[in-house]
Amino acid sequence: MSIVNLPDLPGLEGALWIALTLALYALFSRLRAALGGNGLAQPLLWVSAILIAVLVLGDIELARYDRGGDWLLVLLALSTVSIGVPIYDNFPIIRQAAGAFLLAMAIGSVSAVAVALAMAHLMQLDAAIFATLSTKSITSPLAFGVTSEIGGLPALAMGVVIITGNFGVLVGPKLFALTKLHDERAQGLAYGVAAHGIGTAEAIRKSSLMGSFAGLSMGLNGVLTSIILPYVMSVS
Amino acid sequence: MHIVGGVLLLAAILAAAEAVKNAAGLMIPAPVLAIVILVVGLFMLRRVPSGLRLVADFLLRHMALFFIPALVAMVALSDVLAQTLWPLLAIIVVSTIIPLWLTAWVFARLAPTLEDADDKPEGGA
Repeated sequence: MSIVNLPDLPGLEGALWIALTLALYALFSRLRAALGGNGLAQPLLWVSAILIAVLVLGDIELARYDRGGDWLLVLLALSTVSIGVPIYDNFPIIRQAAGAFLLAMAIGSVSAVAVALAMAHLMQLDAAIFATLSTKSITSPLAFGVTSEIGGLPALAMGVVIITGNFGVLVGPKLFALTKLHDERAQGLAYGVAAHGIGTAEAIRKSSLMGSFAGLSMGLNGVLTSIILPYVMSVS
Repeated sequence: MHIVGGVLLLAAILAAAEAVKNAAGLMIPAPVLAIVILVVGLFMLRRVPSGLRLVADFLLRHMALFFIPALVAMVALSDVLAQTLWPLLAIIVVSTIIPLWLTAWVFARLAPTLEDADDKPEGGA
């Protein structure tokens, strides 16, 4: 292979997409800080919406954005591994509440799937969408594999998990204020179970303690659900 | 060099997780398996190496940034979403609020109160 054939990555276009993504993220992070951490000012949500609008309006293929976007996804994998650090830091606190942790996680996880499936059944959505929704309690990388296993639509599963995560992060602060659930451990646990990776990212931003509960419940719940679900779905 | 060491550690653990996953044919995504390996490793080491702490703090603080491409990829889903958008949104709204509240409520009822937060080892983030 001659030096001329070396891949041109990310290339001008890829570099511009990375720059645009970072600039928008920085802008919206400042905006959120200026608004006093307002829950509606989620940089993730608004930056993605703007980028999607740019792709749609400019009739630009997703693969072209991904020349830059793929670099950020590599960092997503590394930052997911990093969740181990706050889990280690807060392990004594987690162990002290282990029983409550497991029970609350199980109840929350089952309720998410049960509510989603009951509604899908009432609305008579088709079987593939039904199967897809049953994975909504699993974090996105896990949901992908499990969904195809049980006859759902993997791409839709990713979408559902991601919208779920964003919505959870959006309503979480209001919901917890309204119901007077101020315990950081409880909030973190709930974000991990109900809002997955995006919820965990938000919990970690708020505090190390909240983040450690979110990270552990996301991982544990995801693994347990993906082991149990294929059996449940094959019986039903 | 601290930062290089931290990134190296994370990448090596991720690689180990991928290898274990492939060898054992597991359905668990490698990053989740890697969390387990990291936590076990930290318990054996009994401390968080400073380079790892530095890198992990940065990555965790900006995790939302790294999710952006995953969200942008939903642009490819527009066909499916257009057909069942409203039923799906209704289901997502209800089936997110209920477990979010229920999980936190059950835990807050059952968990022993947090005695003294000073007890925990010094943490980042």
